[in-house]
Amino acid sequence: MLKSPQPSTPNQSVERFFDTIGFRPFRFQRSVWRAYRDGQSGLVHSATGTGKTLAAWMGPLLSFLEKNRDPTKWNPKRPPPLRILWITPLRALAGDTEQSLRAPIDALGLPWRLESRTGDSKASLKARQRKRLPTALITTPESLSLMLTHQNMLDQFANLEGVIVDEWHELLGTKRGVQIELALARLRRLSPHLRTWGLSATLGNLQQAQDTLLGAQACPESSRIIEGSKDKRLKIESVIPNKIDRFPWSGHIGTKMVPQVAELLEQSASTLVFANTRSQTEIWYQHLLKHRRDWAGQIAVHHGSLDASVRRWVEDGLRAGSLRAVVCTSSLDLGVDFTAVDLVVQVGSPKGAARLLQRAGRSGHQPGVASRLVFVPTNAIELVELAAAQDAIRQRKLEAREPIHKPLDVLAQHLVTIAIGGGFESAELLAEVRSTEAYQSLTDAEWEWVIDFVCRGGSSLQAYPEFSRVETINGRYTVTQRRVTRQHRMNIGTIVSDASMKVKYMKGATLGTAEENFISRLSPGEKFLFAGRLVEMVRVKDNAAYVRRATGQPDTVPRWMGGRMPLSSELSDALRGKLEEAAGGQLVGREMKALSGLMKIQQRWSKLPRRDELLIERIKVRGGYQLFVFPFEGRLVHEGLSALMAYRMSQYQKVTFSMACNDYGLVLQSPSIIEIDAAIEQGVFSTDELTGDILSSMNATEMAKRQFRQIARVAGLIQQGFPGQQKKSSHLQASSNLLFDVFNQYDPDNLLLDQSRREVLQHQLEASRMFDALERIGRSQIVITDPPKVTPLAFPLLVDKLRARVSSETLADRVARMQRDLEKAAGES
Amino acid sequence: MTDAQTNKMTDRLPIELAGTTLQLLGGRGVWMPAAKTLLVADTHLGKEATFRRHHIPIPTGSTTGTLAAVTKMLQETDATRFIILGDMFHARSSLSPDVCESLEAFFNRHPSVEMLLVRGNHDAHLGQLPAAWPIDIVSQYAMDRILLMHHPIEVPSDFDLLLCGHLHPAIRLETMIDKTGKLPCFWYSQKRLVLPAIGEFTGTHRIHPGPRDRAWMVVDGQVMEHANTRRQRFTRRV
Repeated sequence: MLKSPQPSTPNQSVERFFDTIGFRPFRFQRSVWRAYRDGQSGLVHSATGTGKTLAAWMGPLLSFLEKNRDPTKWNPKRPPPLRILWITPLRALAGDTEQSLRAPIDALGLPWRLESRTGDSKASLKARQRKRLPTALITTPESLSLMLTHQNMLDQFANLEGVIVDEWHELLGTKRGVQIELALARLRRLSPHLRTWGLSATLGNLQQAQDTLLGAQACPESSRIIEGSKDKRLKIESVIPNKIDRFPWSGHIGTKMVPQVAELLEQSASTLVFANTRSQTEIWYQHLLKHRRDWAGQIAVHHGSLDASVRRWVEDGLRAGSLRAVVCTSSLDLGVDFTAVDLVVQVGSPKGAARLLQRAGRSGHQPGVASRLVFVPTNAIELVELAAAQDAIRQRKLEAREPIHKPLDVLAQHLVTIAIGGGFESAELLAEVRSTEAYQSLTDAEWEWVIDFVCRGGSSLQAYPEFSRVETINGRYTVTQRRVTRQHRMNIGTIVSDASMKVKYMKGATLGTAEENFISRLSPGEKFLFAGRLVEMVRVKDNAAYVRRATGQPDTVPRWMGGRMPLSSELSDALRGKLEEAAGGQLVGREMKALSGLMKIQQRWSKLPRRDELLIERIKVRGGYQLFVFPFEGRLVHEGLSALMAYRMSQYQKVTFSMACNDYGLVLQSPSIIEIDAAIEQGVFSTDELTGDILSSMNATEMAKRQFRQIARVAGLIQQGFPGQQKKSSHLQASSNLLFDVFNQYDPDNLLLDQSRREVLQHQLEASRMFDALERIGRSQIVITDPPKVTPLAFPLLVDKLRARVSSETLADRVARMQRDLEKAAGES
Repeated sequence: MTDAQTNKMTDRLPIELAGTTLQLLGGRGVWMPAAKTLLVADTHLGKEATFRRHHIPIPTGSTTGTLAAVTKMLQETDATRFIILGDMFHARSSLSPDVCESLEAFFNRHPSVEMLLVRGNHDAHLGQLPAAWPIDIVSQYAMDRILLMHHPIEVPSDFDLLLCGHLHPAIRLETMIDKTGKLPCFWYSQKRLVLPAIGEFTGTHRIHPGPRDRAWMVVDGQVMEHANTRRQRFTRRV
């Protein structure tokens, strides 16, 4: 409804709007509006539920009101052309965002048109938008890049006044973030006075987060970091099991604590139960339901592999406050305000203080209401982690998100995007690309290589006959073949989805997707948990798994791959501090006190390491020897360290190591005894020749090969299929492993190979953190113990299966040895 | 331990199937000494050219690499006949000038070898090969009671053995403490011997040999029977 508003100043109109929603604008919100009015760009950070959206959104509205003071001239039939882009990381959030942005537009009676454009939008809407975009458009990074391939849309961006990037902390440090940086650089060229605002949770590196968003050429005078309201109260407590077993409890999932958690759910109106993996959400949901059968229909499960319709039903239920509890993964970390939620339960370590803070903020999602989080440990040591996280939050030692440095795969994709969207001249685009923080230091040689890659396939010295993607016409790089355009648009983006299959009922309703790998191991009749239900496999047909409801016990739970977060270095440090306190007999807080028995066993059988000590435990097991090492540096560093140790030790004896890591330490296992004293003497922890040895150990574990998967997909070497879609071009399928081998053999200088090694070093192994860790170990005293049994610290390491391997045996020798073992085992049985 | 139970690695492993002596080669081929015939499966020549034609930049090299592996086996065995068990080419667009050139060089190097292609699913849409190429194409080929085909069909009653490809079989070796990646293998199951894919730019498909099957892995150019399928065979005999 449009009433003709009485003449008033823009500020008065906005005040009136706030009156109607029952709040007064916060001071930080006014600061953001003022900064926007002054043409500044910046970053707004605070916990969720403190009014960031309105802080960023009212600026553009006020700016319109000021320039269009006479409402009689507003004509809703002729909405103003595109002024504002709102970028959201999840297309599922677009609908909710649209709702909350629409409220003030309607209340102020603005003649604006507000629309979304995501992968879910209808083709007819997209076609209309290509001709004329709405006044404000909500979109995703991928859809924004896609728009840049449509030349006729580019002119419309010339009037763009502001871009707002929501949840910037989620994008920073990912290739999607880099994709946005490049798109923003393009938009700034099309509309030179563009204002850029980011909304972010509080991070340890806010300045860097802002610099990355605003680009390398932003001037410091016209940019601001504004902190949202600080008065968010926070209550964190933990559920401590009634009896802490000698070992960190088995099952590793902590479902023993279901009754206590159920009690908590009983006492609160609406609860989000966060688990760290999708499999865990399924298991927890089942256990809660088994404990309280009367809650059927009142609790639900939510994770990224469920069908969109299932997820929407759950989200609607949360919004309406009709669900008592939802067991979810990070899928509910973002956006959507569920005001009814008054409690968050975190199952298992949140891995970082910032993440814990953010999750807690999902409850009491209204200004002025306290957030409440209850932590449920899945093993005893996690209680130490929580104690450490609380310390870190108190001291405001929050984690940083490191931005990604010049990934060539993303750049290659961007060049094709721009070549399709009207083409480019080399020098001009290079300047634009270098205006981003990510590619500031891009060398001429790298630029030339990427140009060669998209035009000729590889460096000009290398033969890629009959290849073409981008062509040059009179010095201008463009794409003329429609097939290239179509192929590129289908594959834009940097998200790698695993080969997945739809899981459907026989009658046709889709439940979600599971990895092909998991489905292929199921035989008909096998029962598994999915989407909160027990289902039975019927058959696989047309790239879908058909199931029916089942009763009884599950045979298995799907495992979805996907990155597990490592413990942050801030938290690792705090954890070492906590253990040192314990070693000194000091147990502060409920969590630590609960662990006193466990700590005593650790002391008695082995040792509690102080900060300046590195603990190593040796144990002989059936089939080999195990070496447990506890640097407490987070899983990624341990992965690198274990590969490095194994590689260095395998240099002086022919041996194969199996390794496993968690956030506390690593375990190496070998069929023969591990001479750790000698190894230390020979410099197994030395920082000399570190980079070379890391690179060698990386080859040994094939880490670079695994990393190549995303690169191959982003650079367009692998054509991404969509879940459930028949692979139309099966003759163009090749695994990234195979591609890696072929490139290694026939184009070893390909910079994409180099990039995968670099990415492993920087992101996978966190080489700089590893270097710091080795330096610290170098200054530490190494304590080697031979415990009588697996100690409490070592126990969680045994739950993870030994996975990575480093070997100095030839493959043939290794196979021969394994064959002997198999034959021996057969002889024994 | 009897002689038969020692399981050594070799680049040429003689086995007897359906009364015929075959040699499994470390180069992923099968050598039939009596017929002086070398068999390979799934060369997928020119796959990288097909990718390039579809705007995916894969370097050249794997086609010549695959042909070099065949040449090596032809020379070592002194074969007079060479048979490809299907999927010689990856697609129609695989016959690019550079691929044809490598292939013609291959033909010229072996003028006295008779060459035969048993058509595979990837060869179905090839159309006519250049008339000058010294290679015949058939849909299947019989050598006494041995049938050669691309697909691992059920063996017709008038044959004792089927030699085929198509599956690109591979197995993983796993013990309590160690586990390898996928190792290409020869797989004998229900009177069918499936050959590993020889093409350098081809993937593999993991198989799980059944209790009555046999499997031989190819590791660093050496062939060796999988310990589990050996064990089953011996325990059955005892």
